[in-house]
Amino acid sequence: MMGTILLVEDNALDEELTLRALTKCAVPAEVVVVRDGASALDYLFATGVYVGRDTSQLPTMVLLDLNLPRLGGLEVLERIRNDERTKRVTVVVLTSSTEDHDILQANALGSNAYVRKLMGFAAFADAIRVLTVFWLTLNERIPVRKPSPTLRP
Amino acid sequence: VTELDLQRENAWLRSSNTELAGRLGDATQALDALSRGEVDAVIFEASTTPLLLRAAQLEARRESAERLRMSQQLRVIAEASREFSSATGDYPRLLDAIARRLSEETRATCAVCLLSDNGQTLEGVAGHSAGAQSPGEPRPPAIRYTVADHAEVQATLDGTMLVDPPLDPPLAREPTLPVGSAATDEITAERCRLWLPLRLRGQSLGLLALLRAGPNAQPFDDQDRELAQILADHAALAIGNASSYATERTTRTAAEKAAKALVAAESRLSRLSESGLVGIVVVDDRGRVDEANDAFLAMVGYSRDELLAGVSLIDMTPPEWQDGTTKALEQLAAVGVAAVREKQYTRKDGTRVSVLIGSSTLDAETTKSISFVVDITERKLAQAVIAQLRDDHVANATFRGLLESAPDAMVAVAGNGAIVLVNGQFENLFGYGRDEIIGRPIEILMPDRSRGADPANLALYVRGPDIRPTGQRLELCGRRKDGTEFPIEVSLSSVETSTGRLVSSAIRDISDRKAAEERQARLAAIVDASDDAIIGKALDGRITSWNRGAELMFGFPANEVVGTLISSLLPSERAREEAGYLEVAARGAVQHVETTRPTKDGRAVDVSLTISPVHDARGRFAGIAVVARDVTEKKRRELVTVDALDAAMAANRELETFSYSVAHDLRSPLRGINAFAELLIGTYRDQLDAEGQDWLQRILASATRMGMLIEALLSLSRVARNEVTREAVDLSALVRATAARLLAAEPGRTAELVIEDHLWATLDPGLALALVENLLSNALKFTSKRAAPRIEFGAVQRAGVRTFFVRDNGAGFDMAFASKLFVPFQRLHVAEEFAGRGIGLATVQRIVHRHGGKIWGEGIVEGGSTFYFTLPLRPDGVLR
Repeated sequence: MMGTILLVEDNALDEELTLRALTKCAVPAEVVVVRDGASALDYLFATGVYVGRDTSQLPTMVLLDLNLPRLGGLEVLERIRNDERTKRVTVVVLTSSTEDHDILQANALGSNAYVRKLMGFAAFADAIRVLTVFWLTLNERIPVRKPSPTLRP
Repeated sequence: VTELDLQRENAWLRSSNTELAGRLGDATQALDALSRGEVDAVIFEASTTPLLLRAAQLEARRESAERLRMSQQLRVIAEASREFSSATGDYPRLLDAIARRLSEETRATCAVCLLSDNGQTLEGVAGHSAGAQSPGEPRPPAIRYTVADHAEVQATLDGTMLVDPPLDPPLAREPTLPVGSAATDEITAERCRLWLPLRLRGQSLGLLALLRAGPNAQPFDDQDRELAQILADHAALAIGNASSYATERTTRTAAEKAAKALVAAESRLSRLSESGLVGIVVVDDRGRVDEANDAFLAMVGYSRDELLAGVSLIDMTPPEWQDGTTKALEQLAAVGVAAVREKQYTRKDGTRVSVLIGSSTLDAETTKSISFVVDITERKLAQAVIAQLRDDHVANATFRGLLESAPDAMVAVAGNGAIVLVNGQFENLFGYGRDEIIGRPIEILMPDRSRGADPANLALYVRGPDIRPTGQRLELCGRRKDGTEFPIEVSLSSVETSTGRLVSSAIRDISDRKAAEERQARLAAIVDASDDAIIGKALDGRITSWNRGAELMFGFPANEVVGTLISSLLPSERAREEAGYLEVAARGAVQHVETTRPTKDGRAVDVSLTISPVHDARGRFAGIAVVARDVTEKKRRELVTVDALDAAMAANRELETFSYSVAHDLRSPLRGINAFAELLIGTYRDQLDAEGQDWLQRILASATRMGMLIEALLSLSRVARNEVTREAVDLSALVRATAARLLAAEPGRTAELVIEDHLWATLDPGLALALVENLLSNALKFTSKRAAPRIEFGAVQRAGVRTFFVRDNGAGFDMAFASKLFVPFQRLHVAEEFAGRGIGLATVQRIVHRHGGKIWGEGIVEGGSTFYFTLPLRPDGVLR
């Protein structure tokens, strides 16, 4: 089954580079891109422009930038972890910040990993490849069971 | 007895003429009243001189103990006097009473001996043994002397009190004294025997013999003797009265009967008359005597017949008293009473007698008046005696003793200015010996310049005819024998003596006091001129002093606050502070406090207080002195400074935030440049010629370098932004580990490491690592071209401060550029020579500064560099 990667990134250059890196490593997943924190939450909770989306269909991985307009990355992370529906989703912080403060905060709020956007495409692409291989392939998880329409009363 | 006393007595007598006689008559009651302090004074019968003197002295002396003793003595005398006078009509009983009273009061055996046979024989008439409770039937001692045979007896009868006369029987041994007399064989001690004369108005009546016998017999002391003589005088008076009473009874004439009848109506008057205390005379309106009692006759020296024959009282009055007498007669005629007055009569023999006289008309029908007359001649005499006694004191030993024991130098000067008396202190003070100064003029003690002209001249005071200097205190200048001058305080008193007026001066060296006064004046001037408020407070919180500075600072004038409680000027929470200051000061500590104090107009002044304990002359804690400095302005400046610092720090933080976000934001596009350049070269390499590929490589290299700069900038700003925690860090161990790690990162690199052990410092562990890492990287980098690189770490004392250093033998630097060492991105070497980001030393400096330390570098071109830094235990206010 094809998974979904939710990429939360406001910078078009970074988005492009990330998508290119994901493509390069032929990740077996659909990539959904949102440009800010609020849109990320809309997607996850099926609100706003994503009304009607099946919330049981969680992304396999969320790649979350921290420096986001409107709602910052750490706040998005906090909301994700505080909601029963989304608290088990894999969130990887992908940022250019190397501040201790950010790393500690992200850890405290329950990010699964904190990955730096490295300088140079080759290095960056390599990091993305390792990430996706780990989280999408190596990491075991309970498969999301889509409730069968026939089971509904 | 002063004039004032006399006036008081006169006033008292004047109060009632009819009471006069009774009161005067009952002398014993009066004395009782005197000793109880109920009356101010009592007038006594003329002949009771000793008693009068006692009373006078009682009045004169102020020492309570002496006064008490005297008043006790007076009580004894009063009781004796009462007993004696009550026995006037019973002669044998009187004699027994005298013997018993004397015996009891003097704790001695007493024999009363009277003259008989026209004064040729002395005969024992009564006796009483010491300690005899009940004399039973006292028998007169069998004493009989022929006066002429015994010089001691004659001397006593002539008025001399004899102490320890020869043990001459029979008087001494008293073989026939009543039962209870002690064994007389043991009489050996001196002054255990006393003979007292019994005399009345110059006539000898006999003597009293007193004896203290037995092994424990005490000598008669001064007080015993004094009391015994007074009692003896009273006894003589009573004996005299009793005998004249007896005589009168037997030789009463018809005229005397009439006079008696006249006065008998008033029993007290009668008794008065009989006692002989007061002269009574009845005269007509021209002063002719109708009747006179014996007392009056004795006073004026005329016989009754002579008076009744027509001698007028006016005739007896000396010319200078005539006016008063005439006035008194007029007064009598007008209102029936003449006020008590003092006057004199001329006796028959021409001598004068001073009397106190009060008169009233006898009754409405007649023009006759009755006068009561008291002889005060002896009293007048007594006044003179007292004065004489006082004079005599000047020369007596007691006075000299007093003089020597006086704390001050004393000098007495006669009227002619000659020094007559000095004490030891004087000798010490002026350097003159007693012998060389007595008789010299007083001026010798004064500096030349102040003689004569100077109004504050001691000599002027001493010699000035009109000046009565008693009690004055003068501050003068004295001159010692050696010519040195010194300030003195002189207190003068004058003493009238038989040889003229003496001026005695107590002289005190006041050099110390003058010096202290000067010091005090100087200090006072300083205190007064001070802009600081200087306030004195007593233990109870009362303000004792308040200088001009305090007036200006707080607005309260000194006269409003001195004496009030400091707490009354303060709000309650400040008042509690004051109590605390006292507590701490009591332990001797000086306190420095910054607080606020209100002004009179309600402002609050920021003050810096210095509170010191104040001790009195005996070293006891007596209060506090508070010096208050107005620090409002200083506070304001501090606030400005703090504000400025805050502003600077805020600006700094803003700058750091800015540089952080700039760096951060720069990374994104840079990553774009880098990544796409890489993609380009990776994907389209074949389509680019060599030059195109080279340019792309340059783009990549530039982007990479810029990335490094941004990282460096971020790490520098991180040092500034992050909180500094403090822990003890073993810098030696850290240097050793870091150096090893850095060397390991460069395969093939070696360096000699000289690291001093156990150098600990207190700093942020993370920053400590950055500090060490940067310094060691630096050192390694610049020694990379050395054949034998050497890096040292150690500590030295610089200006008393422990200073760490990292030294290398590398490329060094030109000291001319030392100021640029720590500026970010400033490099002293071309990048190609030594790769580096130009941020390491800037970071190091920032780390050191954040710990309140200093850093500097010393270098020689191609001679190595040393970087010194300090790390204080506490950051000194750089960060708050």
